[in-house]
Formats: sequence, structure tokens, C-alpha cells
Amino acid sequence: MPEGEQAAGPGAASVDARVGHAGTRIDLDAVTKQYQVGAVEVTALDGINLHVDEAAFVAIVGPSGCGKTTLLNMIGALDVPTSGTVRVAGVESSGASRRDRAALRRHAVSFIFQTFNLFPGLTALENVRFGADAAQRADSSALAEAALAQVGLAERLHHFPHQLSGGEQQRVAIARALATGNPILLADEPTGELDFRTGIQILRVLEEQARSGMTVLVVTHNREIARVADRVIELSSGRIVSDGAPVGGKAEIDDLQW
Amino acid sequence: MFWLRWSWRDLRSRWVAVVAIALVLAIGTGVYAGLGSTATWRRQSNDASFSALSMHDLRVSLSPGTFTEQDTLLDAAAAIASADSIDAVAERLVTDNQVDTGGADSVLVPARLVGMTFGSERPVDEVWIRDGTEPAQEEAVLEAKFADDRGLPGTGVVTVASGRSITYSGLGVAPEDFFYEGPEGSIFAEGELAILYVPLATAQDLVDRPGTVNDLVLTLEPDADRDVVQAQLASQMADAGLSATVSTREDADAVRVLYEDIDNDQRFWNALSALVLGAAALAAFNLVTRIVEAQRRELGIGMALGVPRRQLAIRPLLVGLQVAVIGTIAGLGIGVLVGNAFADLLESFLPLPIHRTPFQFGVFAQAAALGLVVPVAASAVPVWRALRVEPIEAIRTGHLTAKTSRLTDWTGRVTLPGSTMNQMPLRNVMRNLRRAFLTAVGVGAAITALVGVLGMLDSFQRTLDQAADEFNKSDPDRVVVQLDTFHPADSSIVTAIGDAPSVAHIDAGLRLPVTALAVDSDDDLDLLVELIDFDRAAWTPTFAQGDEVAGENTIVLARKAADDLGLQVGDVVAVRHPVRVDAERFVLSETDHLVSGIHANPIRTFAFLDVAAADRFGLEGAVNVVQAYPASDASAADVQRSIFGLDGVASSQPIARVTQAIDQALDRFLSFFVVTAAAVLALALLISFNATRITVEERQREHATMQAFGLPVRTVLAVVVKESVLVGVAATAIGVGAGAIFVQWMLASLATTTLPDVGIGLYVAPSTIAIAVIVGIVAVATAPLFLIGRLRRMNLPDTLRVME
Ligand SMILES: Nc1ncnc2c1ncn2[C@@H]1O[C@H](COP(=O)(O)OP(=O)(O)O)[C@@H](O)[C@H]1O
Ligand SMILES: [Mg+2]
Repeated sequence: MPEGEQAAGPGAASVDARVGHAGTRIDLDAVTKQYQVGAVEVTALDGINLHVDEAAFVAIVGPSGCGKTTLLNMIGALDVPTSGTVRVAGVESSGASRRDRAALRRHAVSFIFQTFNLFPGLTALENVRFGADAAQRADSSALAEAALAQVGLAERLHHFPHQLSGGEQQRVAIARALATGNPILLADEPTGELDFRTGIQILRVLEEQARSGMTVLVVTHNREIARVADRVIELSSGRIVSDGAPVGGKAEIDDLQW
Repeated sequence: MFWLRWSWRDLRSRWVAVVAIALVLAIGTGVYAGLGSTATWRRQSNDASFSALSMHDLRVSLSPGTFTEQDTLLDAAAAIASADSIDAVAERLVTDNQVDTGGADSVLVPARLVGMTFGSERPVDEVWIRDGTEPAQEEAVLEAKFADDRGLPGTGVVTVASGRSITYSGLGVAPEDFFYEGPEGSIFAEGELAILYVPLATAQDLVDRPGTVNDLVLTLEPDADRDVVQAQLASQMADAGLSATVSTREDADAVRVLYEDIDNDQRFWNALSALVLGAAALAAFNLVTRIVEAQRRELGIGMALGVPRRQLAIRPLLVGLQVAVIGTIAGLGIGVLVGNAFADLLESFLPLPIHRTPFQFGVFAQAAALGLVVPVAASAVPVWRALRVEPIEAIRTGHLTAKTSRLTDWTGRVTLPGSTMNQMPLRNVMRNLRRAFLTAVGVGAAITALVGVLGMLDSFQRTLDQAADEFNKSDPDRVVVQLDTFHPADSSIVTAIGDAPSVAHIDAGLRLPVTALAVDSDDDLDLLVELIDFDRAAWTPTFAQGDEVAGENTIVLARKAADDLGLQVGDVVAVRHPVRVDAERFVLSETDHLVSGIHANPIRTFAFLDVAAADRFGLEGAVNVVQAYPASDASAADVQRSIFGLDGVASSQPIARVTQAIDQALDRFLSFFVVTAAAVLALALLISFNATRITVEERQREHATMQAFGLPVRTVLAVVVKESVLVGVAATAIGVGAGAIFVQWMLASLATTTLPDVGIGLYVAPSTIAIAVIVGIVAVATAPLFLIGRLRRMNLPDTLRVME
């Protein structure tokens, strides 16, 4: 774990977030992503160097529009960089075909979206089973029930998403990600739409996953939440401007307040 | 203007959908305009044709077999008090004859020789020369429908009864022959009567009656009182000692039939076009509604931002307006196309010199009005629903559109078998049953129209086949010989037919017109009963029901006749029939008959009695019709030829020609169906494809989510296909069911108006079901395959990012 953290600020030099990490799960080298919007070229990511290992609970913070979602999408092989290489779970995805990237997503990563993206026609149990089915795991039903129990929703198996509260829906989404059994968990503002208590619950589940060996990346613009992570990566204008333990040291989830 | 630009962007981004829906409406309005125009076209074409050839207003015909000196009739007409009212007048010599067409496919048929004046300054009943030239002296013009039916060339030589040959210089038709009845009063006359139009002198020469005439045709001044002139002519003829009848233009079969059917037929086409337009409108409504519903969230945001609702409504409403406008313009084009197809058909069926088929803006406007209103209303409904609610609810429209109705919430407890990928299609359908149902109804409407049209074709075709099977069953080459009057069964004429070299054997019988009295209505039926020796005749009717013809007091009816008379097997029917009292005299009598069975011929007129009933008619041992079976090395034509000249033979017709003629008569109807069916098939495919496309658009986010979890595109596609199939199965079931009901309803209305003489049963052929399944299920299920590129190119991050 690197000591201290660099000062963040506009125009700050970018930080090489590979230092001190082996990059066994995630390995980004000089990743740049540009979007062409009409005549304007938008640089969403600008020379990202990042290593993340297993059993890591990493928070990615930064203001809106700084590139957090884009970064997560690169790691999740939903998107490919304009330049640079992305290696996830030992597979290089930056130059891979759509089909190979789909296979990578299927067996290496799982997503938790800010807007949940649950299947509205499926029940909670079926949504979670989908995760296991997608990853081609046997006995998906049992896995799904276990995952739902893990997020405290053993009672709501047969409810449709619209019958659940926002927090419950997000927990279903987490259970769905867990049911895939994939080693990398990518959560984009998973607590963004939730109240404090629900947010805490969700963080707890995510932390447990990291403790059990998964690589968990959580995007948040809430610095308080970032405090419970092992490692906080700060983005600004598409660059990593700081990387290290939370400011003021890692906090316990129970101590959080926001 | 900002809103317009925005909406232009909308249009560009979904022009495929807008144009496709517009096309759906366009086909609907086009077919409606095309089918709805035929009545006007027919009336205008008839008017123009009759007037162009100066169809007579009055006709004076001398009694059959009587003639008078040339100019006698002209003088008589000039002598009437209202002679000023006469515009033009022409004398003619009209005689029955026979024609042998000669050549390899030579046929011998009854003929009519019309001696008349060609190239007159003021013609009456002029001949329209379709092919070739006006006849010189000693030449003729052959009636064109006959020539077409018999496949004769545009010019040629034929032989008439006296054995003399005459060259025909062209093919043509006089207005009174636009339609004519056959020798036996059947509607299947084309090809059974050869009319030769010849110069008067030539006619007189051919029939060896120089200087005589027997017919006078007149046209009147526009302000003339026709009834008065008719009466004066009649009395003038009587005064001149001539036995003559004076008939009017409307008495002519051609005028009666060509105008009579128009309204009946139009009612029929109206029902069909209403079905097609209705299906298109329903489907367009459904599709536009779904497109606009997708914009509800934006409406909510607008409302939250305080934009006036009226202003917000404009944009989605414009989608409807665009569909309406494009649909109307395209409908005009398709209307012209479909109209042209129908106009061509009409021209090929109606042997008129002049066809008037102007585009019917009035009919088109009716359909276009609906075409304009439907998409606008379809966009207004969801807009109204969105603007009615609180902004916050509209923003959460993701939940709204995704919301299951309370009704289906309980289905969460139902565990579905298989993997979640297999459950998803059914769950998606159940989640929004209303929408799935509406989509199924939209596609189903198109299938209804398709099954409606094809089912009519099927029902007609099967009826025709039934009739043909029944007619042809003993020997399709048998020839029905009608005798001129009643002859003893052992008379020389009957023996002569039996002894003809090409005839193997004969069955002689009786064919009589009778009237069956309806049980509890005034709708008595005229029937043609045939008295058959059921034990010995080679041809006897097939029994669809019952089987016994027990003695003289039983009758076998067509199903349609029994139904129309309110009878069932075992009932007794009163029959009014002629009874011969002496050689020349008949009286009418009523006797009761037991309905012992129903025969298999769908044509209502035919009824059968046992030959034992002959004495009820005073005709024991008499015959007037002979079935002649050709010898093994002879054809029907040989039989006809060998008996044609026989004294006592009125006419002969191979039974195969009867079915062939029915076939032709029905073709008229059927080809309209074929054009309509093609349009409807296009309509159904468009609707299927659009409905699926919109479903795929609506499910984009879910498809992106599946792909985010690494599912290959083909698995996602399989989910879409399965969901489409579910809706397609429902749509097909709705369509086939409703289509069959439509056909049933049409047939019921046909049964009383357009085709009362034929009992047409509902029949939807397996091929029609197959086409319905192809359109409703296969097309719906394969439509997503065309969207595979779209799925593959889907921008996953952007689709997933979209906040609902
Ligand atoms: N598909 C895209 N097209 C154009 N610009 C994009 C696209 N996706 C993201 N961006 C831009 O990239 C930048 C980073 O976006 P994002 O990663 O969503 O930021 P964050 O998640 O930190 O809010 C933003 O300026 C955004 O406007
Ligand atoms: Mg983001």
C-alpha cells in the first residue's frame, strides 16, 4: 500500500497508479479515451496507468464528468480505449474482438449500475438467477437464493422490481452480480440514489466481497463513502490525480456519516 | 422554429419507422380507394360505351319467324305522331343460325346473324370494331368475346348453317351484346353463341330472304317521352298488321346486367376494403402509440422544467402528423397503383369500347381522412396520458412503462421452467399484457385481412371444385343435349343421338323448370329439376345427406335451396310445376314432395326427381334432355358435331364447359382478390416487421444489460425471437379466427345479394393457414434477424448509462 497521497487539483500532474501494485487482476497502461462530439474531441480518459490486485476494495472518486464511468467501462470491457492497453484477469481486452470481450465480461467481471438495470419483467430471484445463468454456472437457482440471502432479501424472492424499493432493487442488482461468481465487481455509484442506511448496507456487502478475495471497484462522488475503501483513486479531467489510502485513514463502515 | 427543427431531428432518427407506418396506412387507403372506385368506374364506362355506340332507346322486334319487306318498319316509325322525337333509326335482319369455326379445333355452335348498316351517318346499335376492319359486302364482323373464348384469330373464315363460308374482317361487339344470355338462359354464355354482324344485304342473302327485315332500333331526342313513343310504335305496328314487341333499352340483358351488378358488387368490395383499411388503421394506431410512449419521460422532464404542456405536446404529436402526411401522400400513390390494377382487371373483364377509370378523389378522401386522423389520435392518446400526470411520475416513466399491472403481480409466484433466458420472453409478455395484446391485435388485424381475402378465395375455389367434381364425376366428356321440345323416349331423335357414330351410350331424361314454395316466406325458388332413372343412369347426383329417392314423390335439393326454403331432409315441400294436358298445352299445378336428400352440387338451381315422377308432369315416357357419352375414341367435340345438324336438337354443351364457364365467371371476382391479397400480404409483413422493430427498440436497455453480462448477441436475439413468437402466435390465432368470421359474414351477405345461386361454404385452406402462420409467426420471428446488426452495433455504455 503506498504511503500518503498526492495533492489533487486542477492541472495536477497525473499519478502512475501502477506503483506498488502487481496488477494481477487489472492492468491499464497509458489508456486514453477520446470521443468525437461533432467537431469537438472530448478526452474522457487521458493516459491512465492503473494496477489493481485481488482482494482489493477500491474507491474511484472525482467530480461529475471526470471520467469515472468511462474508466469502469474500460475495465469491464464494455468499451475499448482509443489508445493504450487494458488487461483484465490476464486477458488483454483493448484489442479484442466484440465476441472475446463478451466472453471476458461473461466470466471475469460483473456490473452494478447506478440505475440498477434490472429486468423489469423478471422477479428478484429470476434477475439474480440471470447472473448465474449468464456466467453459465450450474444450479443457478440455489446460487441465486444464496446471493439474495447474502444481501438480506431472502423474503422478497418473488417480487418484481417495481414492487421493491430503490435500495432493495440495488441489492438485487448486487446479488445478480455476485451470482455470476466472477472475480471482478464493478459498481458505478451503487449508492447514488439511496438513503444513508441503505447505502451503508450495500457498502457492507461490497466490503465482504473484497475480504473474500474479490476485486471490488466502487465509483462514487461521495468522499465519505470513499473512506471505507482500502484505496482511493481520484480522477480529475480524465487523469488519475491521486492514489492511496483514504485521507485521514481508512474508516469503519459503522463510523460513517453523511 | 426550434420545435420544428427538433421534430425534424426526430423524423430523421426514426424515418424508417415513420415511413414504414406511413406505408401501412398508405396500403390501407390505397386499397380502399382502389376497391371503392370500381362502382363509379363501371357506371361511367357503361354510360360512355352505350352512348358512344348509340345503344337504342327502343327496339321493335317482329315475332320469331316473321319478316317484312325492307322499309316497312322505317315507314311505320316515321308515321307515328311523335316521329319528331326520333333521333335516328335503323332496320335490321336478326336471325338464328349456327356457326362452324372450321380448322383443327373446329367448334359448331348456335349463332345469331345480325344484318345491319355499317358506316351510317346516324348509327343505332353500332358495332365497335375492336380488331380488324369494317366488313365489306359479303364479309362479317365476329363477336369478340366469342372469338376470345374460343381462341379464334382476328380475321378468318367461318361457315354458317346453309354451308356457306363467310370471311370475317374483324372482331367487335354491338352494345346490346356487351352481355348476352346463353342458349339455355345460363349465365355461362361466352363461347356458346357466335354473333356475326354483317351488312344487311349480305344477311338477307345468307339466309335467303332478300329484301326483308324483322327488327328496328331507334334512338330518341333527349327531350322525348319514351313511353309515349313506345306506345305509338306498338299501335302503329299492330295497325300495319305486324306482330311485334317494342322493348326499351333497359329491357336489354346487356344494360340490365351491366348496371344491375354494380351496387351489389360494390357493397362486397366496400366490406373488403373496410377490412383492409381497418386493419391498417388499427396497426398504425398501435405502432404510433408505442413510438410516442417512448417519449413520455422527456415530456416529464419538460413539465418539471415548467415548459407549458401545450408546447410539450407539439413534438410527439408531430410524429403522428408526419406519419399522417407521408401516409396520405404515399396512399395517393398506392391508391393510383392499386386503382390501375383494378382498372386493368375491369377492362379485361368488361368488353366495353370505352373505359373511364378516373382517380376517385372522393373515395380516396374518405380513406385519407381516416389515414390522417388515426396517427394523430394515436400520438395524442399517449401524450394526453403523459401530460395528465405529475411531472415526477412522468420522469419515472421507466417504472411506468415497465410496470406490471396489478393483475399480473401474482405471476411472480409462478415458477417458470428453464433458464432465465427462456423465462424472459414469457415474463416480458406478461409484464405488459395490455401492450402485448394490442400488438397482437395490430398484427392480427393484418392477418385478419389476409385470411379474410384468401379465405374468400378458398371458399370460392372449393365450391367450384365441388361443382366441377359433381358435374364431371361420371365422365367429363359427356355432352348434355337439349332437345327442342318433349319427345318420346323411343322417338327417332333420341335414337339418332344414341346411334351417332361418336356416341357410346345415352341417358335420356327430363329437365323442367319448377317453383319450390318456401315454407314461411315469400321467397319461392325457381329450380331446374331433372328427372333421372336413379337405378340405370350413368350419372346420378352424389348425396351429401340422405340417400333415398323413393318413388315419385321425393325430391333431392341443393343444400342452399333447402336452407333458403327453410327445409330439412324429411320435410315436405310444395312444388308448382307444369303439367302437360295435351301435345301443346301445359297447366300449372302444385304437388307436395318429400325432401329425401341433399345433393353435393353447390349450385342452388339443380334439383332431382326420380323418373317415376314424370307422370305428375303429364310427361310419362317423354324426354327433353339427353346425356350423350362419347365413344372411347371420340371427344366431346366429335359428339357435338355428329348430333349438331339433327332435327330436334336445340343445343349441346360438353359438361366440362359448364365448369369451365363457372370458373371464368368466378375469375372475375377472384382476380380482384388476388390484387387485394398481394396488397394485404405486403401490409401484414410491414406491420409484423414494424411491431417487432419497436419491441426491440423498447427493450434496448435490457438487451444492453444482457450483453454487459457477456451474453453473445445470438442469445439476446433468441430472447427477442421467442418473445416475438409468443406475440405472433397470439396474433395469428386472432387473425385466423377473426378472418374466418369475416369470411363467414361475407359469404352470408353474398348468399343473399351478389351470388344467391351458389351455396358457398366457409373454407379456409391449409395453405391460407400456412400463409397466416408465415406472416404472423415466421415473419414476426425473423424480423429481429434484420435487427441483428443494430444489436451488434449497439453502444453498450451509452445505452446502459441512460437514466430512466
Ligand atoms: N459516448 C460519449 N460521447 C461523447 N462524450 C462522452 C461519451 N461518454 C462520455 N463522454 C464524456 O466523457 C467525459 C467523462 O464521462 P463519464 O465517464 O461519464 O464521467 P463520470 O462518470 O465521471 O461522470 C464527460 O465529459 C462525458 O461528457
Ligand atoms: Mg458516471
